[in-house]
Amino acid sequence: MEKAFTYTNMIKTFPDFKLGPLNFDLESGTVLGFVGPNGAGKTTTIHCLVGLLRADSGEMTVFGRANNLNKPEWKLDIGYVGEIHVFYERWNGHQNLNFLSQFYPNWSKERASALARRFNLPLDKRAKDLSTGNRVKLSLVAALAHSPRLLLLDEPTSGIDPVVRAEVLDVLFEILETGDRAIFYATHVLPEISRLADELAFIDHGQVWFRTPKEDLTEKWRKIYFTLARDDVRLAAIVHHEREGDRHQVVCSDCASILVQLKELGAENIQENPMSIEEIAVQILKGGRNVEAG
Amino acid sequence: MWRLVKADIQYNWPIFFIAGALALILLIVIGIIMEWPDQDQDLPGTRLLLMAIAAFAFFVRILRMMGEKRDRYHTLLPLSGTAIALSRLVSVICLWAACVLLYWLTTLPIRPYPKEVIVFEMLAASGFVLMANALPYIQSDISTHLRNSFQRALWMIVRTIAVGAGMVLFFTLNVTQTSWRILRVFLPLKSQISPYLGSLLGSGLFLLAGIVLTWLSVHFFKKRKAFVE
Repeated sequence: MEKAFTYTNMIKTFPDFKLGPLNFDLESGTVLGFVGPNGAGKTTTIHCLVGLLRADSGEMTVFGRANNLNKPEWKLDIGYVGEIHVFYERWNGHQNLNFLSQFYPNWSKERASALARRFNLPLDKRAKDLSTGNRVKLSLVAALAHSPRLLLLDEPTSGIDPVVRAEVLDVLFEILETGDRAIFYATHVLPEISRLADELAFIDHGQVWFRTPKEDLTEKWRKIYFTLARDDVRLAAIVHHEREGDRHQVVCSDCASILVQLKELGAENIQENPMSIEEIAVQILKGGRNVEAG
Repeated sequence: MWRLVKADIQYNWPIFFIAGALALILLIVIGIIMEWPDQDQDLPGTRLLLMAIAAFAFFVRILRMMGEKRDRYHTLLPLSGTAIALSRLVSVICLWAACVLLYWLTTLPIRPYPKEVIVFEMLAASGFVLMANALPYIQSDISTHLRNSFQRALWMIVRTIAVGAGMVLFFTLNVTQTSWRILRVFLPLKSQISPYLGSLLGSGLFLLAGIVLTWLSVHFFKKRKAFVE
């Protein structure tokens, strides 16, 4: 299957932070949630891909084309919405969209108008007079109107209130669910993406160290309580382990394997609890690299 | 590139309109009224035009850089780095070219065959405009390579010294020769450098410096570490 993007040994360093080396890709038509705490490197990862930051080393491609500043065709396939929404501030929505339409052969004015209507976006207002929520909407319309094959969303709803956020996400997901495009959605708020994602990748301290299909998380991850009167309890695929006397509580990334191990060890009162995606994400982000080992 | 230039002019048309109108007034007042009877003297009209446009170019550049994150916006578009870098410079160059054209058209009835010295002064003025246009961008592009507060502080000192030196040079070349002389004040003050502006060598050097800085501005843009601003 065609790769929407690839990162190969990509490194970007700052005085107090190093991103990478990153080696990962996204297949066309797949939705990848990119989850990590603030400062983990999500935005830098996307900025390097769209060309807003120059990587120190390594290569990146978008649908097979290198992200070369002087051969800009690779940008035609990208729709990008970041945390900062940049426009010609004294121009209204129509003027900003007309300006952008000149650069994308696939731009559809009808599609842009339809999207604006769906988002209930006032296109006759100047960009600088738009509320934060409406600026997000204008960015989304601008990113989607040329039907990009790759959509890069970097915490697009940050800074807007929960009501508008829910409204924006509802419409956005409705639109995205019907399209056949690769989506890379960076966020630290997992519920935002858990509805849409096929896969989730977790980043922290500049490294993508865990990536999994979403179903694997909900099927394999469990919180298990059991009683076992032994001191040398060693279990594989454990992310978190708490013990109070003989009573144990573990969070595991492969429930079936743990249950087999517990039976072999003679554990009793085994109680298996499913976990929500959010709980799993918290455990993964707290558990760090242990998850990979598990 | 031209789509960006067109947008730049459309977006900033009030500033361009005011600048154009001021330039036209300067041209009419100075180009005809003052230079005409005083053709064998110094050429204050050309100099004032130069000062006005160069200052305008510098002012517009600074304003543009301080306001909106235009480089970030344009970098996301499917355009080459060269096209984006040039588009930052071209609108002011177009305005300057229009002013030069107007100048010739305005003075044509009076001086069908312009004196050599005027041509050279114009070339030098063009060099000044190119420099004033490119320098703010060069400094902002270079600043994306600075990694810590020490480097940034050092760069600020270098920049301050450079701007100071540039202003001294500019005033030495122009103010003592133009504004004051127009006002007929400080007539004895005469720059030792300014006569070179009216020579082939001097004007050629200024124009060359302007072209080199314009090229450097494109080069530094393409070498930037970041386009987030």
